[in-house]
Amino acid sequence: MTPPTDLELMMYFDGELEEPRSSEVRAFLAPSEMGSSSGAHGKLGGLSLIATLVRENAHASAAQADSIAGDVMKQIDAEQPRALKIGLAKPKPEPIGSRVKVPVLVSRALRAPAAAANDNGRLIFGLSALAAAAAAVLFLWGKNPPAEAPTAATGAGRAEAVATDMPVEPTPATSIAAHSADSSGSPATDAPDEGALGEGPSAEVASVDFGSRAGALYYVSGDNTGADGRSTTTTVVWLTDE
Amino acid sequence: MRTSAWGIVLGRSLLVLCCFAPAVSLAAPTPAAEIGRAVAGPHDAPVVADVKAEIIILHATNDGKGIDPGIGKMPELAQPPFSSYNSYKLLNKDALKLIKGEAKEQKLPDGGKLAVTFKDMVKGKKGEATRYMLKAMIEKSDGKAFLPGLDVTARKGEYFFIAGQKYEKGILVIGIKIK
Repeated sequence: MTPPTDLELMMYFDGELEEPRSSEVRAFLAPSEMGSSSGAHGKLGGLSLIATLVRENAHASAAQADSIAGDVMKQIDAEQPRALKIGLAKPKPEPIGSRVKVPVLVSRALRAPAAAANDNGRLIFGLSALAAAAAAVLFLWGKNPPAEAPTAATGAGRAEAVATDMPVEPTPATSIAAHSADSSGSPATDAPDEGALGEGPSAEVASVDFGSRAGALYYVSGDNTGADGRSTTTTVVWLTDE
Repeated sequence: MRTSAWGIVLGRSLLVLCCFAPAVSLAAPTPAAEIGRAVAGPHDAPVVADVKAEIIILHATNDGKGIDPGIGKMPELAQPPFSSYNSYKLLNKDALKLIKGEAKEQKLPDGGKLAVTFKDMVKGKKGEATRYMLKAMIEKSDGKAFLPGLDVTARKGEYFFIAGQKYEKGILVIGIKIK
């Protein structure tokens, strides 16, 4: 019988050596052949020692591995409250040590955005401020209307038109404000600017009905003077007679 | 929580304010409304039952005769639109007593008639004299309206004119003045 090689001894030790070689190695290691197999026994003892050491070391490592998950969870627990703290607007300083308090913080963190979305007060406040500003503008505008001009109360069937039949075309040099209306009615009668045309017109036209004719209003300013010696603007209602 | 409640209360208060402010603004008398009242308000001026008015009737033509001296100083006749006619002749000049609310008729040379009504006396605007609310209508000889209606607030002592009615190769120019 050939003595087993180191590899065969290892395989035998591990139970991986197949028959019939396994039986031959077992017979080789039997006590009757102690002398011839003492080297092989020594090698087997060494293997056994190594196996024991490796197993113990593995157990020790496995014991540490069991706590890895726990460590990770602790780490997560420690990080989570810090993140929630950042998310909250102004959180009260609360101890974050225990796991029990984390859900509380989570619920607060979840409530925070909902509260912001539901903050109708702010929205209403903003809109109200805007509306108040608009109302103030309206109020002031109503109190200070533009330079007032007499309005012409027009009757039914009034419309605007160009006074094509008017005898003259007023020119700017004549300082005439002409206002025309068509055959069916009266125009709005914008009085001339009093600053530009002296002291205002001799008569402010409240309304004029030209009927079926074309007509125009003229405000003639010149060096004519009124009863009190002031320069005046003469109001002229000019109609066509066809 | 309390801040939010106050925000809502404040917001709603402002909302109510905004709703009512324009209404108050519209209800409050604006200068325009005040002016309207001053023009239309009979209580802003002394109550006058009648006024004297002067009515002149001119005949405008282009016959080259110039302005009738009887018309007096009337520089506006040399300006547009009057300047489209080079001659103005005084046809009539009458003083009328206008009783408040009653139309006073004046016969026109073409057979038509002018009706003038003194409606009211109103206080003028700042620094201005009292104005007189007048209504004028012109009817042609055939009874048709030439000027169906004209409402003015006239200043005392100053003419306002109604012109354009055809008459003998020209037109009639009617001047009305409160004396």
